[in-house]
Amino acid sequence: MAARADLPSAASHAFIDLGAKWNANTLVTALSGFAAALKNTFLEANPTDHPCGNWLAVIAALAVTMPQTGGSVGAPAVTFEQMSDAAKWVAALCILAQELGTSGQQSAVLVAYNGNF
Amino acid sequence: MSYPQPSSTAPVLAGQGFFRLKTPVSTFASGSGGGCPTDIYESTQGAAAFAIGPESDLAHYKIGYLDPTNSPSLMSIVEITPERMFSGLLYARNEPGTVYQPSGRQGRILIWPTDLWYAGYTPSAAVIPGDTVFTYPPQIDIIQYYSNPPTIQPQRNDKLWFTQYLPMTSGQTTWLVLPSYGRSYIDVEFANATGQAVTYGILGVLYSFGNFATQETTLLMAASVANNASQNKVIKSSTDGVFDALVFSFAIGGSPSANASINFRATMSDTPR
Repeated sequence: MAARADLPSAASHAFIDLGAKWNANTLVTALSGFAAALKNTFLEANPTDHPCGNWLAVIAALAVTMPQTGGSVGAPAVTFEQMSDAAKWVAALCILAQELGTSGQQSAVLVAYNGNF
Repeated sequence: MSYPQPSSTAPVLAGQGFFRLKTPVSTFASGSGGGCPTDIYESTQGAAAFAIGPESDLAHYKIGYLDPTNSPSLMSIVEITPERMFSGLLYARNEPGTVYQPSGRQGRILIWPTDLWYAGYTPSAAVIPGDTVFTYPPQIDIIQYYSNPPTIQPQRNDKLWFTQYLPMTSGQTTWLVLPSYGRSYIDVEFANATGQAVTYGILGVLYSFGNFATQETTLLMAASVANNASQNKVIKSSTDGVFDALVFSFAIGGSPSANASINFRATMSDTPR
């Protein structure tokens, strides 16, 4: 995929980008990598970080709930509903980071998005 | 998103039996990323039940809670709708060291809407600049019960939208975008007392991510309503479908009279009729 230039662009393309990973049966790896890359970006001690941190909690939980094995290209193991939730929640995090995050946090989310999706 | 968000602890300290999370949905999604529900709220108090509040415009919410029996994430999620509340004791589990996995985030109850919403939506036929688009952001309304919930499933109110005035300029169209998530029965009345004929129509809208594929369905073909005439329309989910929003268009045929008035009212109900 082409790298997304900014977080709103990443959000609006989340279904396209994550959907491609889903069809390639690599969504679990990508989503886990995205969540892991941002694990320490939003701090529990900072209340302003909570909304983004809460989305990360949900995304990371979804990633480990997905089937970790099985499936193939064109017949992914991850369910349609899980893919849909993943795309919506990643997009939500991108938009919230754009609105509430520091410039450093915004950069981290965009790098994690482009690096994994 | 209202941030900082309303506190779920204050109602506990006040001895109130519930926490009501009532706030307009985020308008962050007005840029190119529009269409995604960005709001997520947290509660550090346990609950006896969750239900959609009476004034909610949105119809679907998810509740995430720390569930030690659900390995490996320790997070379970339930969805509530106008037809289905969640009744059952949930603990916030926000004691130190109790965290979701693998994020390591502190245990707490998480609440987020799942309906799509695009603050930057403009009808495809709107001429911008020129036309006027009034968009009403949907309300989030969730009730977290601290004591036993009512034995009868709480319902959303029938929502009444009413106005006797809309700015209308000859040669331009005024658009009114009202949320209608999950509504089964909608009765729309329009009476024209502007002194001029008004071309009036109704669209049903389903939002999409990035506004790439927002769907508009004509529910009432735009047609002229003469001065001192009226137009009534009933929209049923069983025949017309369910829409995220309804869009009403008004285009006046000439300069409005000095006391130009309309009677517009839309009643939106969850009860099929």
